[in-house]
Amino acid sequence: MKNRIRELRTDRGWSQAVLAERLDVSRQTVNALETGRYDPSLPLAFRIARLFGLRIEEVFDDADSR
Amino acid sequence: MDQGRATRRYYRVFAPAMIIFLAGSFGIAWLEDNSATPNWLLAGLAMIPIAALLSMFWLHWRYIRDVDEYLRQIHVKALLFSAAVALGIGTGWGYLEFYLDAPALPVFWLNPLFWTVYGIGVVAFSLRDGVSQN
Repeated sequence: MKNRIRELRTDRGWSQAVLAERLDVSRQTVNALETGRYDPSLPLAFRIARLFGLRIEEVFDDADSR
Repeated sequence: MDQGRATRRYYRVFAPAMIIFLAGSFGIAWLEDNSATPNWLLAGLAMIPIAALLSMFWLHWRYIRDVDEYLRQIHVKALLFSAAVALGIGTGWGYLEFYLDAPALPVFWLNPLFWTVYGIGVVAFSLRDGVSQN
């Protein structure tokens, strides 16, 4: 599933470590999410969307899996 | 819980548990070779490293619960991989013992094999999934 996490993070000038701390996950997890190697659980996807002040579908694009 | 804190919490118990396991295992072997300790006492003393061994499983249970969902799935994959290897070898060799009179496998070594393969599995799955080891 594609996502805009890297774009949203860099727009705010955050490092992966900063984003990881704000989401209470490891930096490795942020890296895996950004590179599309891992799709988050629904609760984590909500946390990510809320952190950026967006709706889930504005962060994640499931076009490939439809 | 952040990864660093979970790892520190893990090693705070892992280190003494491993020392107790190794000291207990080697200590009992030494007693058997160098003293007239009765077998019932050796078997009783073996409960000490067994308790340390079981504490490591509890420790991993706690560690997997503490880390985030992505790291958790890497560890769960590695645990299944190591269980498959250890049980596959144990059961497979058991068939060889049953039907081909193969020499008895020292099953004590299945435990170190399990944890060794688990460690390799964590590194392999992490590398495959692009996780750098911090």
